[in-house]
Amino acid sequence: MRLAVCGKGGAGKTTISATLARVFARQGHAVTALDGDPNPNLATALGVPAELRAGLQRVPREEIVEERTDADGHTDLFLTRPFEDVLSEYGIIAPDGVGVLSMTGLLGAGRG
Amino acid sequence: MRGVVGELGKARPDDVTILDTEASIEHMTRGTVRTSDAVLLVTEPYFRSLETTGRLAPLAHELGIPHVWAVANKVRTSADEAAVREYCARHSIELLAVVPFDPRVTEADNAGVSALDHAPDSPAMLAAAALAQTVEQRLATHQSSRAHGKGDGL
Repeated sequence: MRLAVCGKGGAGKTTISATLARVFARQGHAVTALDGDPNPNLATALGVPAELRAGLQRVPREEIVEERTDADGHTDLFLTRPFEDVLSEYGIIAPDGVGVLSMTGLLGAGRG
Repeated sequence: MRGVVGELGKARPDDVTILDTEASIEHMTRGTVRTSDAVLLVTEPYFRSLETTGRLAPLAHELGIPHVWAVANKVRTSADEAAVREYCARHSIELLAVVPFDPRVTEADNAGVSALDHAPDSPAMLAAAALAQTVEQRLATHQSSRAHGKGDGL
């Protein structure tokens, strides 16, 4: 299940996202929470202590994603590394086992 | 072009991926959310927030996202709720949940802690937990009806 949480700034996107993530995790799902905000605070809302939040690094697009263009000229993106590697290198684990990744700058991918 | 979020979703197909987007309409038009199963449009019960939701919903539909739902947040009064319901009805946006305003959520934000940890039994947190269940049920129903209807699974 892939959910995107959108809305005007200050509407409470991050609180809703974080709460949904924790609730789904408590129900037994493996949950990944992706922070697309340039000023990331999803980890805070998820309850990650400050000293652990320092471990959250922006995922560099060039290291995990490869663009391939097929014969028809359609370009697609592919992960070049196993997801677990990406999470362990760049992400942190929030309470209830929620994986957190900071995706700023990555999420523009998909134009066109 | 498929987005990175779609790739991450494929990498863990049975799991849950939640994308907290930045506060901009451009974010959506660039295709960030296009591989999502559902978009939740979090909206406060005042005009500019509702207008943003009213602009985002058709963009999400254009991207082909199967479900576009509004979630009313920080709702203080029945008049607040009525305003959101009226706006959503007029714009054909399904309102999936109403999350009440809760000062304890603000307290958690101010303290830099999780609202769920700070006030697990608060009406806002209970409403958000119920929302999780609703989303899961609606997506499960959708997927099974698609599988049965088309015979092609997902």
